[in-house]
Amino acid sequence: MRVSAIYLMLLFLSSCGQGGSDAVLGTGAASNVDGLGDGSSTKNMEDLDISRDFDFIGGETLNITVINEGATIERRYLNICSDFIDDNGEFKVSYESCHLRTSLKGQRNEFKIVISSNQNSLIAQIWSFKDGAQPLDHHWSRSEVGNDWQITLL
Amino acid sequence: MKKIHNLTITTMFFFVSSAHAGFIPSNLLDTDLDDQSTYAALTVNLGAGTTVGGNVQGFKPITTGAGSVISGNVSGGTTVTTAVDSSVGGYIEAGTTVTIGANTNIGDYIEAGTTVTTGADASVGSYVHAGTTVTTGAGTSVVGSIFSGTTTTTGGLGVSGPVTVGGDIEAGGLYTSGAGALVSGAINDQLALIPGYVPPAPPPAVINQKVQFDAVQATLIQLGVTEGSTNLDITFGISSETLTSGVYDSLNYLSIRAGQTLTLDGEGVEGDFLFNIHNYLNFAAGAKVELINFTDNSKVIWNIIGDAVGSSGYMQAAANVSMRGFIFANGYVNTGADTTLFGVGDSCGGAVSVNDYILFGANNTIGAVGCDTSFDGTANLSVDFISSFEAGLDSLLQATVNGSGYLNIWVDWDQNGQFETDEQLVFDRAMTTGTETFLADAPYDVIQGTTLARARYNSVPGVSATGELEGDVEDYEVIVLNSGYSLVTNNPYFLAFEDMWPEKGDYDFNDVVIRLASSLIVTNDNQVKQLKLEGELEAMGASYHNGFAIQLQGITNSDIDQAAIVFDINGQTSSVALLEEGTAHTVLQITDDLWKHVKPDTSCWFFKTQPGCSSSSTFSFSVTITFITGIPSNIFPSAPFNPFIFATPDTDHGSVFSENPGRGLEIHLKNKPPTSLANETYFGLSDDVSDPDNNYYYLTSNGLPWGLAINIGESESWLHPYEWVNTLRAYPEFEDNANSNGVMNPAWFQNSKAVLAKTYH
Repeated sequence: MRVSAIYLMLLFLSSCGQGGSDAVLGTGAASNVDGLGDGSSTKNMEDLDISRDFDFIGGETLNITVINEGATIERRYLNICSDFIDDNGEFKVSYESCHLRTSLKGQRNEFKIVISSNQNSLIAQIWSFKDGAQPLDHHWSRSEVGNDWQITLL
Repeated sequence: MKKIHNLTITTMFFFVSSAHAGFIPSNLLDTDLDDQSTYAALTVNLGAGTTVGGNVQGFKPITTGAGSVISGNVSGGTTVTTAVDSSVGGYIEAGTTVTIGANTNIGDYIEAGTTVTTGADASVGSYVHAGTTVTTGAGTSVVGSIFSGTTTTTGGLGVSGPVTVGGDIEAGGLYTSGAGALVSGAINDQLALIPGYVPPAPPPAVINQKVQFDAVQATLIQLGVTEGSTNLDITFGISSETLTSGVYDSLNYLSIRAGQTLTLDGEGVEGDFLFNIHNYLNFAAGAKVELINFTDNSKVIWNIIGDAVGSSGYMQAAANVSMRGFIFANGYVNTGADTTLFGVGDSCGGAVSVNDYILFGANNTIGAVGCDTSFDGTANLSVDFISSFEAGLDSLLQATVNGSGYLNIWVDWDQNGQFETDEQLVFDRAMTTGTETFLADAPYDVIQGTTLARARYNSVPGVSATGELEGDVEDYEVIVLNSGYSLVTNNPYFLAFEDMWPEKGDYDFNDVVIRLASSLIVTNDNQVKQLKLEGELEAMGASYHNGFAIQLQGITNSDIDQAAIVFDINGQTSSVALLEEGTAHTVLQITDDLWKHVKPDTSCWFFKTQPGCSSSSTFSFSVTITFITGIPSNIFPSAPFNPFIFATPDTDHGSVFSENPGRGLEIHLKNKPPTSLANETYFGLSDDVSDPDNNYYYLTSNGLPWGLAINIGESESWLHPYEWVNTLRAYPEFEDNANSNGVMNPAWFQNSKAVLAKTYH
């Protein structure tokens, strides 16, 4: 095995309590920084019992269906965004926070977006393409709607 | 119209301006200084597409990337080099050579101590003056005369026609004319043969301003004593913050974390914001400084004194950062791609490095274009682009203005970095105070992707996109799509790897930490047409050398329009092949060794994993791939896709391996399959219990992974554990989350759940 000089140096340092995560410290090894006594868990990783199927990959899929039950077939635009404020009943949206920006076509539109498990609310604003347009606001909340969000336009 | 001042720094601190009520003296920061965007004791380097609003001065080489714009003058102690398609609004003076790229426009004269070389079809608005040679490219246009101490050589026919010289040619040596060169004045060469001939003198030497800037920094520190200051500790900026005017002290570093916003509330009165920072100033990716309720005479100054132990007083900003005010840094100034630094009110905004270099990444905007004092982004104009632009269709815009005036908007449809006359979207729309929602037509021949729009609100109609005027001007990033297409934007993921596989690590999950953002363009029949990935290395607590790549499951290289691939590293186009060959599914190899791109800070062993260890280096990447026919969205892989690290070829990766494992050693997220380049004989070694036949990969006997993919939302950055700190200690809720297979404590990774003493921030 070829061992580089820098690796030898790091091995030496790790024996002195230095070195990187991939040097020689074992699982759950305590160092000065990792020390306990602050109320944090006394368990080590070996103590955990995790299903083979749980993959530690965060995020959830939110299925969105927009159904147009109205007679109109006018072109409309949908923004679904996470950063918004209620300004006396008028919702101000930061468009940089939008997960979905799209024109709506036909009677039924289906979309999927991935959101954080931190995300508890979203706003959908639907705009008609006309001067002076006002948006139709729809809200999603994790607790009330879940992962299938249906928006019906009348 | 405000004049762009010459760079006469020696007098700028003593210029007296109109009085204002802020506590920062008016003779400390005044209009002359405000008009200077950049000063560095060493090199100045502007990335491709970067705009600097005022003047640029450096003692060592000044280099600008392709398509860069400097509105003011450039003064270099040694060389000045501009890449193709650049422009300088004022003059260029250089102690030695000046080299300007093809299609570059210089608004005023060029003076060089030695040589001047221009690329093809360049233009110079006045004379060219060189201590030795002048060599022009084909088709170059010089409005004035050419003076050279030795030879002058003009090129032949360019795209724009022959070389043209509006004045004389006065050469100490021979003049050699290219084909068709047109010289309007006299041609006098071999002048050095005439007794008493004096070659062109070099331009004025650049004056080192260290003494004066040291004095400014000391004065600003003293203001903290006389005015009283508020301490900001190192946890400031982990979340979004709001401050009112005053002096703020950071005894260590000041860091605004990724995606967080620092709001400075002027409260509608004149008042200054002074940040005295004793270690370093850091803006992580997407961090913002926003001003509310500001008056034009208020100031924002970041004074990075660097007097903490081991500190050089540097300032760094990652990609997509939005800053305001003026930066005095004792050390270097280094920004990532797509970052802005705008001024406040009468100030142009800008940065000074008293002792070191300045490096602005690609597509930065530093200071106002032309140092237009109205370019202040305060209260008079705001435009929301409610819909994306779609070729040939109406788009919906909403503008909010204060006062009566005319709104004009341009969009850089052809994405060439310029707002051309035929790119105007809104023409002299008369408005009064309030908000209006209205339609505007996008042209048919637009290029899909992200581009810039510029809005101007002025008291008079008929303004152009550039130039200095009263009123407000704002630039916006906007989206252009083909008709009926959608833009889907995923939250960024924090990918955290242990790199000792197949052996267990110490589970600090900081051997490699990468923030990966992604977005998709989807056609109206639900085909994914384009994927954009943007990433940044957040930490690397590894002594091993690892590469980073992303496998796109179900996609093959033949699905991809390879000529249309855009691959940037740190804002610069990468010349390294992105697509790996010989893989069953597409693999995007971002780098084969992350340590090639970053280094630890002085006295630190690793990259941003130890207390007090920042770094002057950054590694960010951006990838855009377009699919030839589109991939049905229901089979397109989901974010975060299949990212993995791999062993850098010819480097050691532990005693498990009898020889260096190289590219065949891949470490993926749990249960994500390897690529066809992985050495599958490694499965089952040491602590790994992968079971490929049943699609279980990269897990231990008790189900532990070697990688986490954390989706924390766009409002926070994940705080990775310090070096050697087991994640169970840094995040106490991780235990129950893992044992319950994700059911309990699903948000264990939030900043509010972290033990701050055990996490890097």
